[in-house]
Amino acid sequence: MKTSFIGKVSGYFLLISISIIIIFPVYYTLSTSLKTNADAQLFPPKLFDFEVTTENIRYLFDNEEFYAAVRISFLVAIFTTLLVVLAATPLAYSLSRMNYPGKKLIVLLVTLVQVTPAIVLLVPLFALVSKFGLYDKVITQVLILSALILPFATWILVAFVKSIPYELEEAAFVDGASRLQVIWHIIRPLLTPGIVTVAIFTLIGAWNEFLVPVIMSESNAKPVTVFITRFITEKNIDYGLLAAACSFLFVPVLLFTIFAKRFIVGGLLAGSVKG
Amino acid sequence: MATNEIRTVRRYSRSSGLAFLFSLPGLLLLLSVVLAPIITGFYYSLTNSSLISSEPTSFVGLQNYKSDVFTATFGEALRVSLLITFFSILTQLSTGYVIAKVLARSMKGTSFFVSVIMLPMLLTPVAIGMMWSLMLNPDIGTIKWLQSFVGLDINFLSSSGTAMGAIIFLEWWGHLPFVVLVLMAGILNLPKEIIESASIDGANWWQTNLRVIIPMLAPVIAVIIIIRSVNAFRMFDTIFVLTSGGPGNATVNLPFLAFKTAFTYFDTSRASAISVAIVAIVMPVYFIFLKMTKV
Repeated sequence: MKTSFIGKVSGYFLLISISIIIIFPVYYTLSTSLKTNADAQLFPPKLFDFEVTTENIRYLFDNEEFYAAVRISFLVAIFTTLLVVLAATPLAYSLSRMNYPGKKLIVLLVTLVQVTPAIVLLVPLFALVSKFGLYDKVITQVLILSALILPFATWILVAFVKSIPYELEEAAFVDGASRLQVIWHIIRPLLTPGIVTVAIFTLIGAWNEFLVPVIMSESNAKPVTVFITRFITEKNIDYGLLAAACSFLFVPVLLFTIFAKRFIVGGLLAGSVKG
Repeated sequence: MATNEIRTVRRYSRSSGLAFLFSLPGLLLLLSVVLAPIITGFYYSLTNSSLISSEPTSFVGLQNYKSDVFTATFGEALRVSLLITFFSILTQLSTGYVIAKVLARSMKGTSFFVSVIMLPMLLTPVAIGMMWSLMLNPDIGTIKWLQSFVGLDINFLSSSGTAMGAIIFLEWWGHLPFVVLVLMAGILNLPKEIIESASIDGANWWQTNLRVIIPMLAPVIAVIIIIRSVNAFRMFDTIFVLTSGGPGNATVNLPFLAFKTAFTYFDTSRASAISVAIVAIVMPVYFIFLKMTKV
């Protein structure tokens, strides 16, 4: 259908308005991180004509506690991604291509995680984790986060496996290939975009996670998301410093949006069209 | 049909060992992180255990349910959860539909706008919440400044109605991308001929949308409502940093109530009883999810 001139103008007006609503908090964060504390607390605020300073960023990176939190954030994000990919890929293949006892139980459990608010699991998990001496450890966050992200990752991969025609595998079986050979030579290359999609979602999800670490960490395993909440309780919030820490959380995600948009949109649709 | 059955039977017998191996890592994760706490949680909900007390745990039966689940606080938190869920989905569907319709026209620059609209879904919710709490500062916040142009001066976080409004706005903001992208894909998949023939037959804009497009999108909209309601119901990060449940208990939803009971008042058994009640509340959605799952 041809769009009329008025339709176009009102369309762009809508898209630009919504973009402003979306970008404004992000711009506010990034710009405040480059302001002096005095400028950051000016009223009325200076949106554009402020004096640019890198003192917040430098101060943050000289702060050992922040540096430790950054290290934890990276460790949790990377190891959670590895574990989710390693667990969800074979699980998704077995769920979509094989029949075996216990399959029903797995579907019941995976779906249960998907609908249950995480806090329901975290209350008793906290008691178990403390009992086994796993409190305030990176590995604990990695295991719990992996289990919480597993359902979403599995359904995305199931959708990807199902999009591979079964005839391809069947033809290879007829030619005498074993199941493992088929998986390695036929499924693995065709599934790579799906695995990349899952890895991106898991990296971002683990990087952004707050509830699990706020319960499961204290001083040794505190990631950046928990580190920044210490600014709430302070009487005189250092606006510039808080904004710099938040910007640090945003930047990797902004880069991902630029370079991995195709995977993110594709994964979202694969994960939801299935359900 | 017959060959299909034979194939299934052969696949089953030949590969069930391998299949078990394939599902083992995932199964172990789920058993330890999901099944174990659910069973322990249910047990705790029947005792008087606490995270800080050293006295031995004793069995109290349904006491926790009587004293903590069926209370005004729980009812209030359930109401907050349902309000957030209902209004965030309502606003997302209505605004998301209009945005998705415009994006589906594939005008120049659509791809750029899709990238921008995608952002909120990917940005750290707790950091967004922290920055909004600066912007909503009643003395020097940017929102106070923006309001001054239209002659308003509302301190959003000071009264219960406007605080709920702020929470619902952030939930809308953070998950609008999901609704827009899924609706857009749904609209692009619709058969163009039907929509065109409707307008040739003289249907106006409203009729085309309400009688033709939206009914055809019903399955997509249903999926959005189900997935979004699960997520909005469990909202936590934003409430934690923006209102801490306040003013009073005005923005305490069920997950936040369970969190506060367990980690502010250290009352494990009460928190477990609340958690079991939350599981009972989400059960209908669980069965809908199972119905939708086809593996």
